[in-house]
Amino acid sequence: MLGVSDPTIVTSGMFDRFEDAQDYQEEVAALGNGASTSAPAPAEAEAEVPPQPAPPRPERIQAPFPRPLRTRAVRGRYRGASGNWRLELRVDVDGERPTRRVSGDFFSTSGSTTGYFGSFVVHAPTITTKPAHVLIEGTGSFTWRAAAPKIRLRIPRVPAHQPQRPATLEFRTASDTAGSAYQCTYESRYFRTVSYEEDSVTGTVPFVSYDTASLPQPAGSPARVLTVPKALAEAGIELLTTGAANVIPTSAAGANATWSDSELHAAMVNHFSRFTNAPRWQVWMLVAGAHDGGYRGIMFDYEDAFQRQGAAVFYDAIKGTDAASRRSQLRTYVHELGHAFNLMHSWQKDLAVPPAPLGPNGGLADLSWMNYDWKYQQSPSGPGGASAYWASFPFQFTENELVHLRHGYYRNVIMGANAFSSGAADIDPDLFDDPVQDASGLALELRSPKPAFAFGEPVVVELKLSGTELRDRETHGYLHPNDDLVSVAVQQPSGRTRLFRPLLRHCVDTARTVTLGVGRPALYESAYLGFGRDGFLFETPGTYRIRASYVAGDGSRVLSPVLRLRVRPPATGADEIVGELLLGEEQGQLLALLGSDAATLRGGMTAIDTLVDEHPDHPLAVYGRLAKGINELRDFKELTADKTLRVRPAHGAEAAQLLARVVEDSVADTVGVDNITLNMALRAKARAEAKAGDLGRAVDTTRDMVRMFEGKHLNPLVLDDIRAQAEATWQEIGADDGENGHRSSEA
Amino acid sequence: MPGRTGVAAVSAWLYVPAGRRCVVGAVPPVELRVGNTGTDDVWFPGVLDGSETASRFPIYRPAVLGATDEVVAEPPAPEDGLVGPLRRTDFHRLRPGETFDPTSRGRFLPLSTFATFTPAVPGTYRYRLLIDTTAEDPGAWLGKFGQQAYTDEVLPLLAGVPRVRFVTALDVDVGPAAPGTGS
Ligand SMILES: [Zn+2]
Repeated sequence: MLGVSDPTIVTSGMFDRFEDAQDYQEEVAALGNGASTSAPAPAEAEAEVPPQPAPPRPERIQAPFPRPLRTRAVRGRYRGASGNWRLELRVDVDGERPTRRVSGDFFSTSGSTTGYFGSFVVHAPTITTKPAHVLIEGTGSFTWRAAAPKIRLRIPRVPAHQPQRPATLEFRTASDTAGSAYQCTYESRYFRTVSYEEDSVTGTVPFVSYDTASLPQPAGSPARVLTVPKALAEAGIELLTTGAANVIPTSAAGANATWSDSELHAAMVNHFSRFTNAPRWQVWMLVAGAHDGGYRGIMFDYEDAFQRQGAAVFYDAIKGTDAASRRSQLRTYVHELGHAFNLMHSWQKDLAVPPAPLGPNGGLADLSWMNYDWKYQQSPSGPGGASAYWASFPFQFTENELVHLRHGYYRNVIMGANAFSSGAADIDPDLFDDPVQDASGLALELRSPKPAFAFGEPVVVELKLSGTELRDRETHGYLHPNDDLVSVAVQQPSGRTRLFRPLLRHCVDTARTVTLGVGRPALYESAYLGFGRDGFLFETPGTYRIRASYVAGDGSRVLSPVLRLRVRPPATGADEIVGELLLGEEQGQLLALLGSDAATLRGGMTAIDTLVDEHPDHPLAVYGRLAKGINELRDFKELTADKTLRVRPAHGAEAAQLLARVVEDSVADTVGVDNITLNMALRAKARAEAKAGDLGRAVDTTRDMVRMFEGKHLNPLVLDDIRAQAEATWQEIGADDGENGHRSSEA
Repeated sequence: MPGRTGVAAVSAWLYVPAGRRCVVGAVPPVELRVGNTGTDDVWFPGVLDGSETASRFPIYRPAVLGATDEVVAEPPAPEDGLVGPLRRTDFHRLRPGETFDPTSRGRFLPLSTFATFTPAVPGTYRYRLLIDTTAEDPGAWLGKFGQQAYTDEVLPLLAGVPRVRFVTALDVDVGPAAPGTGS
């Protein structure tokens, strides 16, 4: 989908490469200017520290290499760009609790949209310290198969009081051919920055701070005053408090005054000022009274498509002004925020997808914000419980949790992306991924014609493309998933995500230009998604999530919000039989093609005949009639085995009769076929009637069509389109007639 | 000295293994077994994430009472309800007459209340455990995350779990610290 496929390889001189020697001279000069207290810089050969093997993890604040000058810590977030690629780079080899890793997220710009592309992390780099720079080398793990997976990162060493200078990151292939290079500007000492909004419910008192010296604490834990942002800052994560602290009335919790997870979610939607269903570095915390389950806190956003955006703590369960209560409050706040970053409980790490190793004693020995104090136990028969936890807990995350927070792949950490506990991307990265920035001026929407589909019912959705601004916006009009410019991803009830791949793919150019604006605010298309090249997509009852992507004329990638639709289980024996009749492989093809005489699909056509003949009054028989009716309307050509072309002429009368019943069964909303298909069926019916020689009835059908849709209270512009379609159909019938030697005499 | 047994075809008892002493300053080695006392095979769940705080079924809710029946140890209010998925491996198949340890390490979770309670004074302590599998609604059993992949495999097992609710208890005599332990 994205224009360039790999940000680690050279695409065409889009960047400047830095000559080692020149850069080195600059660095030495820079150091010399500021390093007033230092000894003369030793010769490089003497100063070079030999490459270090992957070391044991430092537990405490510790510089991993000697610093002859007091230089800035080699740590923090950088930003670079090359061509259409943008890189956010994180360097973590120095400073507080370094995890000795380098990681990054790539974003790609296409038209006016910028979307996430992929991430990498170098887990065990070799770190070499030279007088003027630190060189970090290693092979990364990538979320895609990177052509140049080796990195060489050079970070100038600058005196502590000077601003950090740009770093240079080069990618190389396994055989050491140069890949792309990025000059990266220093941005922050934090690895990630998250907006934090805290609201509270009337009558609650939000936690402020806890002085870790208030109660005995382990020897290695320095005394300091911890707020929630400060606790995260110690992990290298910046929480930027944003938004006004709203006070929410207690009535939001519903009649019973305690909160359920769904009431909390609704409160988030209503009160989180930055709320949006998209991956964003932002999280909402509600200080509420009490939860239905009596909990101390909850990360309540674990069910929908955009999880981990909000958490709550429950004042009634955690209140208290004594030191022990405030210490517990701090733990609960940070713990629930940890879940929002997709951290699991200490004893649950092996339940993640993919599983992560558990810490000692099944994880119960973790001294972490993510453990429960009362569950803490050093060993199966060793000391444990809350008092043992607090005697040893230095107010921190574990090393593995730090690696996740700082270097976890973007979608595994950012709020609103991968589901809680899911660290593996089972999702097509090009779909279900929101643009980080969207200035396309277009909006795409998927709509379901009915709240739920029956078992076996062909799933048809409507696509709507509209402008988001007052001014006109030009783009192309190819809105059907059969066109190359629209993709649809379907997440099935099992959690598996599949792309809809149409049986027939139309390759299009972008010549069909439309202007969306006041004159034509939106384009509509209806698409049958039930069956594609990979078979049925909706064959099992359950809830499906569907998302479409449209590549606009200017290259912008416009994503629809996720449409959730439900397939009901069969309610009766007849439902089950009818559903099975529609779910055969050949029937799927026939529904996609709207009928066929092909010998290879004869079995499927027989099943559809059975559906129409034996279950004539079943609501799903309408689809059988539609496929049969459209098929009967065609002159069906088939190349036989002996290479002769056999033409079965259209059966106008039969087609008209079948389609008349389709129309009859679809007049009411939410039964039968959707409006756009109904429109198509009505015009087909008119053509069938004309083919059967009944021009008067055909013209009546086009008039009925206009009246029927006028009765459905559609948008006036859509109605104008339908009137124009009726007119065109009428003219088409007349032309057809003329060719067939009949006279078109109707006015 | 097995404690009281339960009802239906399943019973449970707390015990201190023969030859083990309970002294102040050390965690009494109280263990648990669940047995099939009926005539048919049954599937029975072990202690799962959330069982101990009664945040999900099966409930295994422990408490330790002191000399005057005051509660000296019990799980606190549940931290949050983010319990892991219910999986096939969370159930143990018991043939008639068989027993299993629902807290066996590596497979189930320990009952942290019993596993960490350290009596400070000698005396008799009553260990009490409520076991409850009565919920019929699968929603009361299933996990809050990662469940989808396992739902199909556990629903049939869940249907076959004997629905029981009973308390089993054991009085544990805790003696003074052994000489030389310093406590
Ligand atoms: Zn939790």
